Amino acid sequence: MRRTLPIVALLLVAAALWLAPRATRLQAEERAHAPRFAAVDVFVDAKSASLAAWQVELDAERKGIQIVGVEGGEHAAFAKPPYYDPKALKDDRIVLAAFSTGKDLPSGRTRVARVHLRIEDGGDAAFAVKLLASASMDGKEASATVSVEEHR
Amino acid sequence: MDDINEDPKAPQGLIDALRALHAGAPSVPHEIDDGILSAARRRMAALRRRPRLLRWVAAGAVAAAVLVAFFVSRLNDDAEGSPVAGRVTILDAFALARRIEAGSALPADDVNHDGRIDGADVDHLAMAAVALPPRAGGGR
Repeated sequence: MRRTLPIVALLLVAAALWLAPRATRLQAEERAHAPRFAAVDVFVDAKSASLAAWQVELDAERKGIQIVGVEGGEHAAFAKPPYYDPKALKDDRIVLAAFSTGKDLPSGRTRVARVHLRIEDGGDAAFAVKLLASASMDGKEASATVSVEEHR
Repeated sequence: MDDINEDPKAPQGLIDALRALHAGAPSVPHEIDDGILSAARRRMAALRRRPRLLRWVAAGAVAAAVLVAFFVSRLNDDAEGSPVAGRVTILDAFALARRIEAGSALPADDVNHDGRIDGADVDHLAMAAVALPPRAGGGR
């Protein structure tokens, strides 16, 4: 009996050491594939022009990404949530647009909106983005570019 | 009784005369025979050529249809190439907002037909601009 107890204890410790990393890895995998909420920032770069109006289309590049909300941008001119079709919520694509007739307008790269998402498989927020229209203060088309980044 | 069962017999003179009628079949000259044969061959060749001609016409029609479809699709692609070709964009709403602010709105700017030209018309245009277009190809 005295001999068997240490052996059993050793076996238990060995089993625990063997199982612990596997359990941790499984938990990490579960976490990685669990649904998560995320947000992507939409940036428009009007370079030296003052950005007065913009319209972009975002389209998820894979399944399992659902748009759940939209908020405005960083500059006061676009702080209010942009126009969007309410049908886009619970969809995986959206058209966003906003304009400002004010004098205080952003130039250069500015965040114009933030789109909140639910990602079913916990993966990346992969979106294709297209600039549909943009204009400067005088209403003339601005040569701008658009990009999206996941908000961390 | 015996007279009834006997085969009637034509007089020999009549038989000879009838035979003489078909005895000398007219001979067709070789040239006429050849002429008829070559005419028949020409006719058959023409008949054989006609389906070939029809096949060429059908193939030409299919090729023309393919070309037309190709060019029409190219035209549509060009329209799609401009992301908002033919659509209302936020620039229309922006322009209307600027006209309202400048007091230069036109009667045609009453896009929601409520008898007034105001922010509701601007919103109407902006919402039309962001309406989700049908997905190209019918869906993910």
